[in-house]
Amino acid sequence: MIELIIVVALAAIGLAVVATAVSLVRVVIGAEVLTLSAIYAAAAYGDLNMLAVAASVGVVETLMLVAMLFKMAKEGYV
Amino acid sequence: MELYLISAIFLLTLLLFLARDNIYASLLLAAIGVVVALGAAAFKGPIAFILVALVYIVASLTLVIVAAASIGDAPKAISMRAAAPLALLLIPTVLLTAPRAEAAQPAGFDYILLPLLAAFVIYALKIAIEMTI
Repeated sequence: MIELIIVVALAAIGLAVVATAVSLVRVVIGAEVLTLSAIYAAAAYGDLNMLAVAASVGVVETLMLVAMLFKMAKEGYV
Repeated sequence: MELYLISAIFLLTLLLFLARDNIYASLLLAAIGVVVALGAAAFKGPIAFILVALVYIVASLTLVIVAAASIGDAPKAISMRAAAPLALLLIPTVLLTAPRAEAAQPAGFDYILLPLLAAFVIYALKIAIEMTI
């Protein structure tokens, strides 16, 4: 029960960080906290293979968001 | 254990909202990741701590580089909007209808995942390089 509260609290924290962001780095930090809630859910309710896949997708998500941020910085949006 | 975890998460979140600099916020992301990795290690053993802490330390150091590259662009990184605490309304809705779920036991690791995930990460790196040039 309290694991579910932690999962939903992490998701709510991520949404709140995105909702208060002005710079795009804060949006990426909020997306990372949202992914962290998914990783904790995989640790609490799934097995170890699911946790490994969730951690790898977290790495790829960071890579894609940072690549998008560099692309937007080259075009002058950041 | 979980009460310490949830209080540490809320304390670090308060620091994350109080941090004006993006670099400090990225380092606080690593702290949140290590705290949640401790919570994951309670379910799946030390290998889960290594996985989650490694992912979030790498992610926060990458974000430190990005935040240091864009320093001085925005003088104020966050602004308190009224929509932000609305996300916390998710918690009582879960408390109403949550089923009781038992904690899963630690299971073995399927080693066929290692080359698959390595190929996936390399492919995503190729896509990211193609996207930025």
